[in-house]
Amino acid sequence: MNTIKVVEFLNNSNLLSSTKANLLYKQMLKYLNNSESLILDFSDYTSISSSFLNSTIGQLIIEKQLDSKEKLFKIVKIIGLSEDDMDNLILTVQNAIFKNNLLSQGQNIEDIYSNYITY
Amino acid sequence: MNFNITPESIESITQIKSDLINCKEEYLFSSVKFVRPFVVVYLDQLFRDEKLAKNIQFLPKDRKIHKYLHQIGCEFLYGNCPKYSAYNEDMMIKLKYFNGSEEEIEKQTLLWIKQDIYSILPLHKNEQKKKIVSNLWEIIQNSITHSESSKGISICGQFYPSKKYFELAFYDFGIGIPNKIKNSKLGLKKSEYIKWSMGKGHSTQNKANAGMGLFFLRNFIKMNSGYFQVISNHEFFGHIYSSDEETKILRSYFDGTLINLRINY
Repeated sequence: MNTIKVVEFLNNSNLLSSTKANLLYKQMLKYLNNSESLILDFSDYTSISSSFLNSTIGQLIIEKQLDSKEKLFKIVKIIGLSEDDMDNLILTVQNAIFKNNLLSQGQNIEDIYSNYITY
Repeated sequence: MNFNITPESIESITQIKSDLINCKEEYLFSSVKFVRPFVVVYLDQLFRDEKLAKNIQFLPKDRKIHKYLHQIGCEFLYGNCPKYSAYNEDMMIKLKYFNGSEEEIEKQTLLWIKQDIYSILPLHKNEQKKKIVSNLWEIIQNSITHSESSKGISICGQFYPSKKYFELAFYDFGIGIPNKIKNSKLGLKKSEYIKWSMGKGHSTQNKANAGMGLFFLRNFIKMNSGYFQVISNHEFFGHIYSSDEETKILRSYFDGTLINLRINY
């Protein structure tokens, strides 16, 4: 299985901007076009933002039309994240799957917020 | 004039803007005895208006306030800075202004946190430091991306070492959160806009992978037992008069978005 060492690939331990996330996302797609799965290794990272998670993992959910986190983790094994950041990643994944499922059923975003999301 | 951050003090600083606009030449900043970082960032953004900066001489009457504004980094002050040494400059998180591309802002933000915040925080709080970086970056990036302002964002704050917390104020002179959401036609009630923006997955962008930034920030502050306030357009959301989160409707319109945080360490 191919492994992307994220910090090494981006040459940066702060995983914040969507610009960097887009570079990683393209690399992930490249690997997944040639193989069924990959390992995303976050070892040695310093910090990670929600926009970075959205532009990598969230974007992959949309691209591959994944409808469960199990399906995501079957093709992308994630290692090296702290417990807190892994929790945030799972929340990000759940959010993207939930909204993507409804959007792909033809619902618009206003209806999704009105009918399903509370705060 | 009360300059703790309350709906009344926010209404007071909007009055400063009206006074400055109507002012002919010299503005004597005379109504206050105590200034907090949220006032500094508000003034800084006001004076990023070239016409105002060129035509108005901003002169604090109280020498302590003049000294404080000078020390914290205000460049719009008029007159010589008085000699006054009551303030410990090491505990100030000095005024910063961020604008530019996402990559430039990331570099500026990381440098600022390393120099101005990490230098005071206890060394062993590594996990907290990671969270501080991602959450502060989220506020700055959100502001630059969504505010539709060309004036960037102004930030400053203060450490309170005996109480083991620091406060930060962020202000942009942009469209404001309620106005931005109103444009999305979500049909929310007045007073619900800011609270809505902090919900899980809530975003004005019409895509699935968005809307987690402010939700994570709110969670971070709750876990930290900290404190936050978001003031934008007609809404004042967050901890008001030390109570739980609530929204107050302001009597006067507040331009842009002010975020005030207290983070324990």
